[in-house]
Amino acid sequence: MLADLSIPWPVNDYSIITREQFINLKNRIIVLEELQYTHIVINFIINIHEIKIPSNNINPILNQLENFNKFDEFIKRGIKFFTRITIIIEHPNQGQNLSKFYSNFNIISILPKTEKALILACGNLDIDIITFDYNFKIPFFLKHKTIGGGIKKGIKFEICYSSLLSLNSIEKQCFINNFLQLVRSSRNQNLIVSSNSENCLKLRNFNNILNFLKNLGFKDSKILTNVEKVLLNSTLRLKSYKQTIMIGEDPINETNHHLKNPIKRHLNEIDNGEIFKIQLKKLKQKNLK
Amino acid sequence: MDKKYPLEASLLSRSYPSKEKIIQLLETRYALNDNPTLSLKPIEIEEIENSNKSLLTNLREEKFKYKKELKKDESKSVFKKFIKNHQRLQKKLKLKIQHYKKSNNLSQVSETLFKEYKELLKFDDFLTMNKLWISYIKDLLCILNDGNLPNIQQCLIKLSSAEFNGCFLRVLKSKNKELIGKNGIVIYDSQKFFIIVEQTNKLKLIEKKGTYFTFVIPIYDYENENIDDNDNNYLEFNIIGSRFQYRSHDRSGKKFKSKSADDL
Repeated sequence: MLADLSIPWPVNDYSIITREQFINLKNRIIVLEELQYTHIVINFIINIHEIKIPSNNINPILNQLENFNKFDEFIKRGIKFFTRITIIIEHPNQGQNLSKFYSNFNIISILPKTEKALILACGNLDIDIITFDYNFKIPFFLKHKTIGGGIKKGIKFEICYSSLLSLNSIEKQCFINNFLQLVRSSRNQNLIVSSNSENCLKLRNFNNILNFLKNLGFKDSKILTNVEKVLLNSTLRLKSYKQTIMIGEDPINETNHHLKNPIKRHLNEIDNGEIFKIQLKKLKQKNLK
Repeated sequence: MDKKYPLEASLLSRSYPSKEKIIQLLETRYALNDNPTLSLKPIEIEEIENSNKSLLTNLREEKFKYKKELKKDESKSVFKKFIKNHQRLQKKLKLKIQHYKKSNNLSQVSETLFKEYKELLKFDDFLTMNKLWISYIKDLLCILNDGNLPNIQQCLIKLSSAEFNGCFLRVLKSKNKELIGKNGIVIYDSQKFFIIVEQTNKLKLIEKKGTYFTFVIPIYDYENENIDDNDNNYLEFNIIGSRFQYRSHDRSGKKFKSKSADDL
């Protein structure tokens, strides 16, 4: 299974997208399907300091795509869609309350702008991913001690390869600089690779990118399982209570967005469901005797 | 009365040997006024038998009385012995059947011929336990037979502190590949194992770590309606064994913490 964990949503606020932006989004998904990706995550980037969050309909992706009914053709071909929110944090005291996002988005990530925000994200918050802006140089030094705290909690760190492919040479330089800093401070652990591109020309096959990163000194062999773990961790947040009991068998591959009531199941969907039916029949026969 | 005023009761026990007399005295004194008062009068002295022990030692002995009773309680060790004995019998029966087959050149031998069979647990005896469990879990989750379903998050919170003795389980995934597909009724839910009885009358210990257990709840009234028509009306849940390693009475009051899913 291949997954792209970040396809940016065209706008950064709650306005309705235009027809051209929708077609651009669709084109990117078609290219990803051609490159044999099966799990696609649409990423909504928001700055809490500037934009007010409404009380209901917090998730604009599900609202405007009508629970992914507009992407029905892809779902029929076996592609799974997820939603993700990226919160830009500058002051650590304003990013404390994330509880309203847990029930509305699948994956929750944070983009820290200052060192204090990074320490907060690694230490206290219950999130899946920490990401950085690779078009500019990271304005602070990444310490192994803070990053190591995040690794212990199981938070993954994201590498976005789209700025590597840009025509601007300064952006390329910044990407390589930031990438080497992240690899050094995390000691090649808990890293994931995603695209984060706003253009369908900047999407690449996964092995191509991995080859290039290996030339730069990247050694993680667990990178494919890491992506799977992020999806598992985020889906279990909604479909289980603290990972003790879950609904259904395979939380990643059954996509039911934001279910509020449990679903009825057919016996054919359950693995070896006949056994349970035979058991119930035995109980009924005993009752008759 | 004796428990309500422990100090007065222990003071009076110096002069009266029988408990009933003390209770009677206390009742008459506090019949009208509930405030703790104690007026002492000179009385005729009755004989007291165990006067050697002081007041403090008596109190101390009563305090640690339960520890002596705990040592007498051997139910856990008896249970352990029973399971070990049962597993030994199972092995013995298996060997006997093999031996019998070789010596008599038979292809199939029924287990009922041997004397060990009578001592083994039978699957049919536990069917009533399973029936009770289904009615219990339906009451707990507020599932009525009219088709309305409860809220999903409350369901999961209740299930995480529910009782699983008597549940019919099946192993979905496991690190140990021989366990996959084993099914049976749970007779004991220990800290690291589920002890189940299989349909072939065998006792089996299944480790929780690294395994997923499936169970199914019927939404319709299975005792009266036809089972074949209701293939669509089931709820399916999965127990993640690695996060479930608590004894059942510890689990009921526990607050679970969120962890990363790296080891699942």
